Amino acid sequence: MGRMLEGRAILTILMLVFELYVVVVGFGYGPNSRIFPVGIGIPTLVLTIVALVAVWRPGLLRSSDARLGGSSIAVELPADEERENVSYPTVRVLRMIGWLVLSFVGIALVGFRVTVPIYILLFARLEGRANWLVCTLIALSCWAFIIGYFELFMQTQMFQGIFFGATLPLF
Amino acid sequence: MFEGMATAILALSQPHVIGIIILGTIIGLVAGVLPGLGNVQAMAVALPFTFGMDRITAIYFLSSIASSATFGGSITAILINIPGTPANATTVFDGYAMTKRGEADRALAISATASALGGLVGVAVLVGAIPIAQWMTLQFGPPETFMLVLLGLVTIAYAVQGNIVLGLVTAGVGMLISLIGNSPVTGVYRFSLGSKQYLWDGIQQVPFLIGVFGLSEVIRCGMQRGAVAQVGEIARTKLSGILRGAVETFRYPYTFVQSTIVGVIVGIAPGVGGSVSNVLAYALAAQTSKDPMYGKGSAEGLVAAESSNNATIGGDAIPTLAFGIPGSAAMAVLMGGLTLHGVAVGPWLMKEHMEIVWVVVFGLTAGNVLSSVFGLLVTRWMARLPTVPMGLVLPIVVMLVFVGAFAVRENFWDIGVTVCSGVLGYFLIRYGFSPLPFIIGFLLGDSAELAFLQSLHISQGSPLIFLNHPLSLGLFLASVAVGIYPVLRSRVIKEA
Repeated sequence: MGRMLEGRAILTILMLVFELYVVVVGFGYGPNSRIFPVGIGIPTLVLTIVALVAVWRPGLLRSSDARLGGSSIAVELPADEERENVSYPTVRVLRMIGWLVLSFVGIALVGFRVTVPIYILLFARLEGRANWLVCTLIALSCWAFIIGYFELFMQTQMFQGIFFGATLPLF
Repeated sequence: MFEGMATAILALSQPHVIGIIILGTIIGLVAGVLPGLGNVQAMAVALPFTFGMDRITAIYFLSSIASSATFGGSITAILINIPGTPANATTVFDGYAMTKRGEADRALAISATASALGGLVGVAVLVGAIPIAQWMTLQFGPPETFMLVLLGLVTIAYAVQGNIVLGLVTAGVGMLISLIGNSPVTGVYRFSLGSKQYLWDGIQQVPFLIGVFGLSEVIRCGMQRGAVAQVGEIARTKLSGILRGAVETFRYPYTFVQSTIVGVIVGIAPGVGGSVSNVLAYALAAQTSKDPMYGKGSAEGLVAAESSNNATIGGDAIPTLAFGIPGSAAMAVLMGGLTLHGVAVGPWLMKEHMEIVWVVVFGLTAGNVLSSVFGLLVTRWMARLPTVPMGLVLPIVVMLVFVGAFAVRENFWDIGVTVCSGVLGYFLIRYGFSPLPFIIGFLLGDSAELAFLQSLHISQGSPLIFLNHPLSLGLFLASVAVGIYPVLRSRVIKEA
């Protein structure tokens, strides 16, 4: 319960920071460019502050509940969310996110052709606990499908990876 | 209207379109059978694969996936007591009880028949709503379009989240994210953190959608190492039991009609899907049922549960196609698919692309009927799918999602957007925020800004334009009513 509220508070603060950024930066644009972002940003900011107060001050929340409309403001914890929190520790969540980041970095460095089979092989072996033969078969089949469908059939220029000469311009 | 219908029917007669509908139905069924996955995740992963298809084939593909997963979910609910999708939550009560009594074939047949018929009724209501929606959309100008988006967001925020503040916060954040990049009216780069190579064009819809709906589920499912279910002996099915069950469905016309009405109405309400209609229709039927076995293996309970959740899909399509307000998460992904294929969704869709509306109608119908037929043919095999360890399924899904996100524009950073939106989607769900208002806010942000600025341009800067037009005023008042409804309800409850 405590961790749930703590997590919700962090997420709400992140949203608040983003909304503040939009509103503050938005004021710097011309009238036609700023009216909509600022017009949406300010009410969202106010509501986010209400949601944040609701996380940190449950007592205050109940009184504002009565004032603002009860069930609509109440921070109710769905049962399945609570279960999920109990069942899956943060380290497990981070591990899964780590797998995603790893694949993202892998594609950036060596491209799809190399990352797809290696990633599937390692994930299936380490997380799925399957034997090497099954993992290899799955990895190769998926690799063949992806290369066959996207690169050969759809003529997509698959990302080659920085090590093989690709560039990643962002700014 | 009939020209559009003819185009859709003509496409349906082509072998490759039939093949793609069958493929979509199978994908939807498999996704429905796998607990944790459903039509939304299947559509999100399949979305980039439609890039190489023509527009009509792609929409047939996505529509058939949308309508086939719900019956897939009922197979595991009936055979192994695990609802494949949230929309099958109440199916387990009577379905699994019948399986334990050795009547799995009868239960599956009732479920298949009720699903197919419920789905057909939902689509029939959608067809019936087309002329009314067409007339209504003709009355829409920019002020009405903006007010409609506002009403849609407020309704979704309240209906989905059950907490209008959190719902509006996520919808607002989604809308603000959609404003990143160049303004559609002034061309000014906004909130792009100085990125002139990527963010100038904004956050792309497809990578964002498949991240929030597809990758977030991957993270959630990745929490469990092994298989979703350990399945023992799967009950055998006999043709005689299947025929008996199919006929038995027609013995509960009142329950069927009542449940499909509930399903369609819940579907029309933006943002609320089969999981709500399933429970609501089941509870309503429990009030009227005289069957002492209700909840313990009653055919009537199965009819209520399975006709309502499938009827919801047709209802979901009404606000999506008529007004561009997605009726559910699946319809939000379908909207993403339409945008990907160059079809702008909004009140103008029925004016400009009537053939797309008919493609969705026929795609949903075909998916509904085919999923029931295929589902019955391969139930034993389908029920074994949840025994496949998630550790083997997930890396394939991750790679398909990443390749799909990249393939749309061949831009590497789209994969980064997918990762970020997937992680964000996971934490939104984990900490009690619904991702649906978030996504719908994101999808509608651009068109809302355009309509807003066009309105001000017409009125030479006067915001009174939103109140001077009767329809716009009506929509505004409806938004206010939805917004203050929780306040009034709370007061009434308190005073009582």
